[in-house]
Amino acid sequence: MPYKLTITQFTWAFILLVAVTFIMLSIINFNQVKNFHDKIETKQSQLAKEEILHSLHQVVELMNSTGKQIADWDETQQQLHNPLYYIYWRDTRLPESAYYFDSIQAVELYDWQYKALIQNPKNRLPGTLPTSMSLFVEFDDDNQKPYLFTITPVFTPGQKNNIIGYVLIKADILKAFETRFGFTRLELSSLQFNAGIKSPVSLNKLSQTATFTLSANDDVRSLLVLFAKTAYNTGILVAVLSILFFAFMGYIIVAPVRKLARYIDHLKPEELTETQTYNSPVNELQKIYNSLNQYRRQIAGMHADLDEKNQALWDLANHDPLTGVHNRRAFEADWKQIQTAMQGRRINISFMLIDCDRFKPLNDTYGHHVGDEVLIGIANDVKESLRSGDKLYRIGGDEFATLLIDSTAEDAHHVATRCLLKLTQHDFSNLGINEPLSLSIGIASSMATDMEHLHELQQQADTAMYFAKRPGNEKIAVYDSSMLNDSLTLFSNQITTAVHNAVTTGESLELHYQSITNLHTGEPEYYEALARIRNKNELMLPSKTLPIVHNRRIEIEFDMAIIKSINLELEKGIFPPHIGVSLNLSGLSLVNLLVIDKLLALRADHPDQTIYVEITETALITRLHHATENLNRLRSAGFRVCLDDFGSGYSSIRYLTQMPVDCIKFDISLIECLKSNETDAVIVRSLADMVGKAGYKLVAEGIETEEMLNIVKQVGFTHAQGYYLDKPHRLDSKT
Amino acid sequence: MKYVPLFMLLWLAITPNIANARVVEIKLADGLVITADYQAADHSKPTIILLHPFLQTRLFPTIRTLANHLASNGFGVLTPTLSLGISYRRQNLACEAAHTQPFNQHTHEIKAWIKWLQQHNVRNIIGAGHGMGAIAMLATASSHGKPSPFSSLILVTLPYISPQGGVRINASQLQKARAEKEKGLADFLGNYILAFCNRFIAPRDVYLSLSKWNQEEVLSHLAKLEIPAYVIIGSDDTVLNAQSWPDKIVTTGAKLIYIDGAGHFFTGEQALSLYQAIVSILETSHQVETTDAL
Repeated sequence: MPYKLTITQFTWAFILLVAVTFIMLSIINFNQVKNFHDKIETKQSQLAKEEILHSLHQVVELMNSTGKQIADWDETQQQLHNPLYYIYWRDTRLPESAYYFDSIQAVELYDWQYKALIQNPKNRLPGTLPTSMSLFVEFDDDNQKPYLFTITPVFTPGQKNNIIGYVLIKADILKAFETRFGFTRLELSSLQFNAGIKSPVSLNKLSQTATFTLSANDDVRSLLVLFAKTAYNTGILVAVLSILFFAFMGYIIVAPVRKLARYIDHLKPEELTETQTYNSPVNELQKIYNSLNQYRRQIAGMHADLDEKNQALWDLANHDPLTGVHNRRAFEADWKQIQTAMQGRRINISFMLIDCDRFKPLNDTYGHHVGDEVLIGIANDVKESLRSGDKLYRIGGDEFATLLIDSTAEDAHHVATRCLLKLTQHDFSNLGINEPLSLSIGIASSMATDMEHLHELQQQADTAMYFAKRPGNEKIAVYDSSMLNDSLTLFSNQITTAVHNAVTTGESLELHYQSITNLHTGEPEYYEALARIRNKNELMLPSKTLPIVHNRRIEIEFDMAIIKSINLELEKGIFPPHIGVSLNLSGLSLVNLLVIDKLLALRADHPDQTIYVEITETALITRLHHATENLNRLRSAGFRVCLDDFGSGYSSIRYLTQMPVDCIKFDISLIECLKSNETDAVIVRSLADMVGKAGYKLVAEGIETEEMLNIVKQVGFTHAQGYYLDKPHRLDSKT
Repeated sequence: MKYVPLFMLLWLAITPNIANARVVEIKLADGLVITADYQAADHSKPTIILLHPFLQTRLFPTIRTLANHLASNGFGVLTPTLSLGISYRRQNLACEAAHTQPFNQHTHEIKAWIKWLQQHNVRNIIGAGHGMGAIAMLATASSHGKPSPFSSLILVTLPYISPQGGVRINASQLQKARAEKEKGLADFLGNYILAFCNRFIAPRDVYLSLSKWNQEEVLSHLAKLEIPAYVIIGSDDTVLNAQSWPDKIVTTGAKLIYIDGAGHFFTGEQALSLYQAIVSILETSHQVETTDAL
């Protein structure tokens, strides 16, 4: 799952974005102000240079004025006339005079021939004045300061054309600036001139070489201060707003959302019914909460409904819908749980297997409805006979089981006895059943610590139950190891395994064929396929395997396996030419579309092969309409239908007219009747005659002697089957 | 009558400069050019050489006022400015300036102007001076040969130089200067106290030439005069009214005229009194009439 930001992180990111934006805007504004400041400084610098030039002119004007005053001074005239005391005048008198001020560094008088009255090397004044200029600038070698030299002519008073001498003034320009002139645009202390320029230097040139620091511009400084204050205040404002925004987000969004998240986290199924309060200052969040709460209540209702349905489903999944007792699924689950729970405990566990005797014939005779009512009655009787807390499971059609915890075999026997007694007292006459019903109960018991035996309890109880079913035995049998050696044991692990292998893989399934002979020609007309299951070296007869197939309700799978084997053998071409094959279908397979489709596919694969389907009248009657419909489909596809074991069940002769069959195979019990001269034989002869005249082929089975063959020929049977004619055997391609 | 002085003061104030005065100059032998304002006298009236006080020029207010009114009354007036060693001198010379000319240079220049007047056919010349100008005029008159170029002398605020009174001088400085001169030491610029100067810068000899004019010197020259001399002193002149100076002046034959309420410089309305006194002298001694005689 990709990393997701929290609202707090988003808030910080937003605040960071605002801060960065503010800083960038401040930088932009600062640069703009700086550019403005630079422009002003450039302008100020130009103005400052103009101010310097103006001040230089003022200094020149001042020095010229001073020079003129000195020139007009009588004492100057006196010195030019008689310089006897010139040094006193120059060095003492003049500096004390009103014409002298601090920016004047030196004054010298020159005669009309430009020669100094007395040369003064101390002040670096020239001995002879230049004749071509009235002022010049020179730099002092020592301190690199610029000095202005002005030359003023001295006239004879009242005679402007009579020059009698000159006044040279050496003025300290910076001193003059400092004491006489103020600068508004530059810091005077910073003012310097380029001493590298060569004389003569013009004032313009001098001003251009000036370097200085501009005076602080109050307006610009105020602007910068204002900008800084504004930026500072704005920064403070942004910071405060960010904090408030963060707090606001925390209070309005983050905290409520976290609270809502905690609230959602706490919405566990077991807490759905609890009432939790949630109040948010944010309307939308409150709405979310309300919706969530409503959704939560709906979920709670759905949970309750689901629980009910789960319970119902569980009941449905774990109870037999007919009898209301627990079903095989519940049994399997409880069996596992008990095995786990009881492991290692010294507790006796008894397993009791209960089966209704002759239930199938009863069901076939009275119909399923009656059979169902019988099962309900049995279940109720057994359930009422169990101890409190014991569960009754219906694990098969008429087979029930119960697990008795902390019960010895003797205890279980008492319970089984109560069950039989209870059933004996049950009156089923309201269902039209007057004959007594009985149960066969097998009991197996073991200590829970003996896990090996515990696993075998079911098989042992099964063995005991079939032992009880044996005629003449007690209806309650407690398993004993000697039962395993009894050859009559119906179900052994080996047999059951072999049956299952035959059904699932077909490996141990062998088809043996017994011919049905046409009595008119004396030749076999078709073979009946008889299923045999090979267990190791033993070939098991149907008397051993079919009860298992019937008991395990795997008739359909068994029939499908036979069809598959016939198909394989048809493909091998083992049948002689013009010889058909018949196969037996159980009642369940007859109404199963998969089986019907499998047969139709067999028909399509072998269109030239005559194939008979043999069904029992019981199977046909159980679901007559559906069975009839499927038989019609088979007959339309080319199958021939033969009614097997005719006369062994409870079916009415009336059904025969409705059955879509081609031939009738009389049950061996009816054939046996033909050997006597009593009423039974008369009836059978009449029945055969009647069926034969109805157009059906008549097949007599169980023909084991020539006498029997002659009898059935005499009676009018068209076909016969039996050991006398042919024993069941394997066919191969050489046959 | 009490408004007469006020009227006269107003009249003095509005009186223009010497109406027809011109600046005249003389180039002396040493090259110095000296100048003066000159207004020629009406016929029969004398010409007055009016000399300014110590270190001043002819523009000294008392001198200028007197000159203007005298000229306006037809008197000839010559107001020279002593050069003090400066050609075309126009400004008062500061005490601290180097004073290079000895006192006799003043008489030399006054004599040059007398000669100039005489060359311009001026015969009736009255010498007048204020302060040291009065001494210079006295010295000129006394040192001039006969006949005297002046018909009379009017010496306003005639001072004397003395450590004890009169024009101030420092006795020790004076004694020292004299001693050095007697010893024949070199003459350098010195710093002296003289008159109103606390720092009078001059060579020793120049200093001594000025400081010699003590009471005896002045009185002796007054006594030598053969022409009438009028000495005008303000009654409130504390400098000259000490040491019996007025009394001593009188002993020389000079006529002493007191002007009540006047001080040493006759400033303000005292100038009017001074003018009246001078006019009075001129009227009485030279029988001249003045147009504004009161």
